[in-house]
Amino acid sequence: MKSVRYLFTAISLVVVAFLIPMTFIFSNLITGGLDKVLHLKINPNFSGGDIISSFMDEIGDDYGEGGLTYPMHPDFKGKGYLDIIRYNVYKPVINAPWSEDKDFWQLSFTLANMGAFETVHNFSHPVIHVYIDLDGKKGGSTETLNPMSELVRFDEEHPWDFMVHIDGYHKFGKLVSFDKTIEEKVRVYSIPERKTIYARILLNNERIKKVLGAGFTHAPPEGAGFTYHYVFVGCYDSYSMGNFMPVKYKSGLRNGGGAKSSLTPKVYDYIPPEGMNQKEILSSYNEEKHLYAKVYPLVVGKSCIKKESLINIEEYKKLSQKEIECEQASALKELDKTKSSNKEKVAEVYFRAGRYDEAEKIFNSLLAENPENVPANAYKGSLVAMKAKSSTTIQAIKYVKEAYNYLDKAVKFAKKNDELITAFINRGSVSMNIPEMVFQKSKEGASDFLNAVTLLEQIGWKDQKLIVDCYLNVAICYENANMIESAEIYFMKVKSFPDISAKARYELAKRGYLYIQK
Amino acid sequence: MKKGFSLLTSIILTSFIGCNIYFFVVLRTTGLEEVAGWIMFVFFLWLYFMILHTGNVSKYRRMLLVASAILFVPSFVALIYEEGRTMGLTYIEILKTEVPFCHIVIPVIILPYILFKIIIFPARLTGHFASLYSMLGIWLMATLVIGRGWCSWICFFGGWDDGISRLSKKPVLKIDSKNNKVRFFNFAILIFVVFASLYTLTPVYCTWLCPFKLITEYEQPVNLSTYIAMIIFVLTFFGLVVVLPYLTRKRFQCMSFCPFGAFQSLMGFFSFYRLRINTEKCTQCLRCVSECPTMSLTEDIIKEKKGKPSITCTKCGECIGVCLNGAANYEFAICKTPKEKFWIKWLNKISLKDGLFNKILMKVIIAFDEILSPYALLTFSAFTFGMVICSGFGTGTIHRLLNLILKGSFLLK
Repeated sequence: MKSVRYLFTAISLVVVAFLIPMTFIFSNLITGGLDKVLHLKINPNFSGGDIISSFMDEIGDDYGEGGLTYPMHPDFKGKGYLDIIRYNVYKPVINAPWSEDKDFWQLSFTLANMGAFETVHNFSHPVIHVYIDLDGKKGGSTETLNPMSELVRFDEEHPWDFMVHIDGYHKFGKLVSFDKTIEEKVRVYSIPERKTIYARILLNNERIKKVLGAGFTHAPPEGAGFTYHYVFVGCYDSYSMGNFMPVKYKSGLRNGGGAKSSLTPKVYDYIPPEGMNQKEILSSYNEEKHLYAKVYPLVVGKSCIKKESLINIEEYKKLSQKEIECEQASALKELDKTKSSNKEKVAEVYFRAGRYDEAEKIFNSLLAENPENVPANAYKGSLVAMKAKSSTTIQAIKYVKEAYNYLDKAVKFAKKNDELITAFINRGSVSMNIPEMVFQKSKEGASDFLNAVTLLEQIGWKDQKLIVDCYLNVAICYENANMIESAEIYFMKVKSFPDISAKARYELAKRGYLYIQK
Repeated sequence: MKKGFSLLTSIILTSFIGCNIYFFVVLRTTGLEEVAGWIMFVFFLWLYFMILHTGNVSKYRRMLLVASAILFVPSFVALIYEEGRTMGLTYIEILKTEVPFCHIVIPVIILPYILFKIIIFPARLTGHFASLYSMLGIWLMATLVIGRGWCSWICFFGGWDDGISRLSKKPVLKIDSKNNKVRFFNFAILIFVVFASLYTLTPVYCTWLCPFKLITEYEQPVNLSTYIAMIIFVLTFFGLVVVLPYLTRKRFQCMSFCPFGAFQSLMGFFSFYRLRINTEKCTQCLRCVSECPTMSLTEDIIKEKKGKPSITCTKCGECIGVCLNGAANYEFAICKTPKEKFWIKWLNKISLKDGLFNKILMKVIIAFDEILSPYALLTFSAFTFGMVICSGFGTGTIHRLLNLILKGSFLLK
């Protein structure tokens, strides 16, 4: 009996011993399970506090009143440097751990793009102003701190009490009261890979603590305890009033263009309150009466309106599957028209039609003729990686290794843009679909898709669908790599396109980016 | 000293673990990294074979742990620099909440999580080898299997004082086993850091006391408190990890200071394995007492025939290695090794018969008995953990060294 019990114990522990490597291999499943049970949350005081309010702004609306263009200086060649896409307001933190400042109030700004040329904070293009009304109508100003800076006026119901100034050139930003009696430092951090700027209003000054503290409660009753924020992004200019670069009719090296009037606000992006439109607000100036455009604030602290999706996600899923079937069917029709002499084209069509065995045969023969054939290497890599899905773990890893041999060769040997695009897209697709915990390739996949998009835009590619799909895959890759903020930027980017595929709609709907407000 | 396993058993078990080593160390690698992988593969395989075949678990286990400790540092530092960071943790890294999570923090995060539902360490939650969930999963599994054996088989920090404590042949400073209360000091440290961390909602041990901040990331010294902390780190590292282990031949830091070690001693109740002293075989020579690096075996325990070390035992196998009568050995926690196993009875019957078939059958039964022994199963499990943890850094360091020799750069990016 004792021997039997001993034997049983030993055999159980043999099983346990063999399970140990499985815990490492399937760690993402285990961590998923642990998350469902534990719901771990890092102390928010490390990252600046709990978020009270979060505001998303449309991507690609860095055109001010509509039509504003960037300066012609070569440093402004890219897009999105002045485009704010998310503004977060945090709960003030007292006695923050592992922080330069113990007491502070944090605001954060996520931009569509961030670039720098030797600046203190790794961003150089934007200047950000946040005007804050703490107490409703009681006190404050309806004019900007510096006359002639933004060229706007404020809602009389919410005159601002404090202004926060942030730019990339000075170590500290500034907090200034409307009457200029209070001035305090604002610590600025930026995280370029998240394209986010963090501003911490220091609460060292007791007066500021008291004054700002009055506005921190954010629970109902209705109308009480909220703060009101006006958020503007302009183009930084060290010589201009408030550092907001002037905008004129035509852009120059040191000024933006596209202004329709001398009263056009120097604001490239502004977050309007819900239900309002940036273009309408920023073009509401009156030239006859010489009145600047009147702007309205965001209400911070109000509990978020729950935007429950009324969209039937299952419907989108079915549409997405149908779309794939239609694409495969149309690829098959294309096959009849494609000349059989053009082996490469035929193989690509087989691939798109889902006839992978036939595609692989042709690609193999192309590689036999020319081992440096770029499309053949690229598609062969994808085809080999697909085999990993239905094989054992060890075989799957071998397939993925082999796949990357082909894919890396494709990128290496590509000489023309269209070849490079094919290589990047195939390699990115494989990186997106293999388990992140085992291979950790998602970030590289995002990079490949971004390179593909850059090249597509360079060659003036007309089919928006491919560009949108690439952006969608960038977002999914970042999501797989747990870079949630970066993923969000690209999901928003996909959403901003007017005409997106059913697959893109489904992916956005799944994640709550598409909704109809109740 | 414990007799080693038969060649057949050693080959069978080494083959099984060889598959694990191949998967974790070689399979996913290419190019120069694959060469590094094969070097580590041979090293690990040799170590494990020697543990089994010589019976000298402690010597070869220590080689694994010391290798882990030495190979960890260059790889970790290089990874930090390749990610564009420095060893000094900046406030931006803390704001990002992507600091690599260390197992030593586990005891202090439990109470704040239970009471306030927050984790008081700015770690990334998932998506990285040192993410919070990954480390928790590994810790849970390892605790169940080997309990405080973590300190002797897995912890690459422990490799430092384990290795340094064996540099001198005789202790310069003798700690009498009657003064063994020093081994419970880390329980006091544990209680202090748990409650201090709960009060301040910061990991106090990391901020002020951890000696291993010198070889991992530390809060950048920018003001008086961080400079004082830096001085404490230097003093504790050299005092507790280098000087005292060298002088006393004891794992001083692990034994008397590390709060995680104390925590694992308590968690060790859940472990599947224990160390036992067979009081019938024991001649009370006290060699195990003088060699035990954590003073878990004392004169009282041996003379009073208690049959087991104190809860601070790290399952290092030192006592197994020095015991001349084979009295010390690993056992299953839930059932003792029976005096007579029915397959040994068969073996005895078969040994009386001649013939090739009977000889083969005898070898098979011996191998069966040895494979199912607690010694084999604990060393297999513990070595697997230690190998997996060491594999990433080990291969990384060898890869970087090869890169340095052939391409002139230690950094890969």
